[in-house]
Amino acid sequence: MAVRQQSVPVAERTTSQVQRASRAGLAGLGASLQTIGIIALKELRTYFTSWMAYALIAVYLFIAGFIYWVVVGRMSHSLPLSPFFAELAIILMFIVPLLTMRLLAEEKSTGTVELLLTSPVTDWQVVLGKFFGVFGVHTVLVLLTAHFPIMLFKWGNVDKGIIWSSYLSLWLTGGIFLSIGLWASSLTDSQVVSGFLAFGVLLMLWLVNIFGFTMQNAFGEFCRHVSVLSHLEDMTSGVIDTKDLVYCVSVIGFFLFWAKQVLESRKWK
Amino acid sequence: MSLGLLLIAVGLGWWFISGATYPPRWAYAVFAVGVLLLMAMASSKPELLRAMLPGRRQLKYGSNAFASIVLLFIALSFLNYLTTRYKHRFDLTKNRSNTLSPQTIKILREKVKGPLHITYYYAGGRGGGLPPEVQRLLRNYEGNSRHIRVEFVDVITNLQRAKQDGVFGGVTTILKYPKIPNAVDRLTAIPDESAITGSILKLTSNRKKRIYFMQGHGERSITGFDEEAMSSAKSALEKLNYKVESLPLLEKGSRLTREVDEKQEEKEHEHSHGEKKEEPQSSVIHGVDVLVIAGPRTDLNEDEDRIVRDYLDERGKLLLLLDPPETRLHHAMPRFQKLVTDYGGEILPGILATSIVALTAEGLRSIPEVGFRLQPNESSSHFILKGVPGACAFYGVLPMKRKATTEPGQTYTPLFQTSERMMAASLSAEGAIRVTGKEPRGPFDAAFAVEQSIVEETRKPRWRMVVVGDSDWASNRFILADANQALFTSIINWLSEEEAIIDIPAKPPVTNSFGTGAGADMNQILRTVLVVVIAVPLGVLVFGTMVWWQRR
Repeated sequence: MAVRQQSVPVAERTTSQVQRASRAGLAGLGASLQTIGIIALKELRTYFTSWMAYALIAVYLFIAGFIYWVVVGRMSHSLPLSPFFAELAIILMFIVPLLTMRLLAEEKSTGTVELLLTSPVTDWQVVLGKFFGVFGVHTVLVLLTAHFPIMLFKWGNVDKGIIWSSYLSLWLTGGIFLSIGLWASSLTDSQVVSGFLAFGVLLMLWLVNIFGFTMQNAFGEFCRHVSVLSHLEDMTSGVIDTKDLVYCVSVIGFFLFWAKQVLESRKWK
Repeated sequence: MSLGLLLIAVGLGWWFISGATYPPRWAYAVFAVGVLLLMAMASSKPELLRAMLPGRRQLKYGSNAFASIVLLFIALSFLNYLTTRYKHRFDLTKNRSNTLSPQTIKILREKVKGPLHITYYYAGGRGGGLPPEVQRLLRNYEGNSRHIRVEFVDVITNLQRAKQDGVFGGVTTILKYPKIPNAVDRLTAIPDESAITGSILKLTSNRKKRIYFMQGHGERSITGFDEEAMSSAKSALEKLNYKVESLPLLEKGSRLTREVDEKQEEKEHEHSHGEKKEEPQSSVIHGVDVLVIAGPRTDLNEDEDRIVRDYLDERGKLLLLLDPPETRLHHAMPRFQKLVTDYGGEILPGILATSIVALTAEGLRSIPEVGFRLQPNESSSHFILKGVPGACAFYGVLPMKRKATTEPGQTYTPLFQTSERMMAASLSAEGAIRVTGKEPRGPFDAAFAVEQSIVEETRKPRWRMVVVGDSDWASNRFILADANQALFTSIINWLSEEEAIIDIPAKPPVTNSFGTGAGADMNQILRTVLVVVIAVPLGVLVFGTMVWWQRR
């Protein structure tokens, strides 16, 4: 037996070990993704089996529809599409804290977070599962506004490139807002405080653009880059820039990481 | 303690917000008082400080968590910084309206070698503001060259700064290129890509192109401000960074007269001594990028004719504005006519006239009219015409046409052509325009451009010439009419081989419209309201209520 083992070349053994390890790694990743998917689906189901998601989506669609009507009802040749999509993002700023305030704060106030944290799931899986769940609600919300471009394509003459890039910007901006909402929800067990905190940070992230304009220095440059508005302006004009994409992914990643750290802190506090 | 922290925050915050390199003295004082207050609190109540500090385990894990958050922030900031430097843009708009043209990008890469500051002054406040398209355009320049820095300055809130740059209101774009002394350009309209790139090209060019207006034959003056002069045309060229001077060709004592005399003496010397030296430069007009002869009243003499021809043959660029004898009150000028004929065109007798119906003392009569507007030649894509947005106004034009035989390598392009109805009228003995009905009919060329490309066999150098059968259109009286100024600058840009200045096609703006005509019709608006404001939100609400009802 020992002889047979020695006869196996070292390289072959190493390869098989690597293959096993990678199979195990892939299996682990698959399991992890499955867990995240389960948590996300559970969150999504929670939203759509209660009246809250429907009420928020209906309010959003009503306000957005009203703005759309005002925009297309102008007796004018030129439709201001970029400001329209920026206004859709502003409405999101009010809706998102209401969507995210319960994500972790409710679990904390009801004590179910302890159950969640002691179950065989990692903090990352909890945070990502919650995020993707609420991101799914946001995606449904964005898809339900599809009748705006459909009507524009049917009755108007619009640059399709602007529509696609604006929708991408709306989707990603929603992702940023949701990650901040999730982070705010991880900080407190009060849903109201979480909602206000998220709204405050979102407002700050929006208005910081003013500093970017008034101050022509490195701080102003920094403010302009940090502001959501400056990135949104680019994308709603029909440009997809790698810097905007990296900004969106960075902000989402940063706040999710911070939320995970906050969640983890319950173990050592 | 709270007060101490507050003072520290105020001190630091003011420094950040002020944007100054060093904080003001009072910010130092506020910061110091804040630190002192904290130290006093720590020394007087150490138990309070101890109570505030977390336990060892919490401190360990807490600082780890804090450090990881800070590290991630730094890493992401660095990544974002890198993406602002090395980014890639995908312009999804139909006509790539958010992308700079390849010509501009080439100019930015090849010409801008040092810091270039673009400051856009605008009047903010109600009704004013910064147009987003200008903002995007200038940011695009900034993104395509690491040397370019763009600033947007509100004149109302930064009056002092605006005064320093001589801006007192309205939209002004100032471009500064400190690498070249006094390289400053100012654009006073909302800029487009063509204007900005042209300005950058001018600023970064080491040498100003020289445009010389020949004088001495009754040509139009470039210094006078009367209607006949061409000072406005001169100003337009100077704004494009050209150096404009007058050239007294053979006036006694002028530079050229001396050079002609010297050349004559040299030739006589060679002849008497039997020596034959190689002639370094046959033309005595050198250092002249474009020679303009605008509305001469007397003909060239033999020497001048030779000088002009030599100049043209030595890669010269000539703009010749000739008038019919009737409008400039001069006699026939055979040497100018021969010059035009030898270089590809032909001047016909008479004056271009169209007949208009007017009410006279004898009733409605058809009378000849010599002032008219002409559209640029639509069938030509000549560079000059790209810079001419519409019709140009002329007054008294020589009829011209292409010469029957053209030299090899010569390209003749009619810039303005008349219709077939236009006639070449003649003068009566009293000096009035006479129409007999037997005049030759159009189409005639009112202006043309000829270019001699390099011919491989002869290696003949290239020359360019533009002839316009009128000089009034470029005078102070007419230069601001229609697209006359654009035509003049476009001709000079082509002749001086500064094609990059305006050869950037203007992109049509992105227009998104709803409905037809001036907007949506009432039916479309009603259906829009019904769908987007009522049906869809109500549908979602009804669906939600049904789900809730089932699960309650």
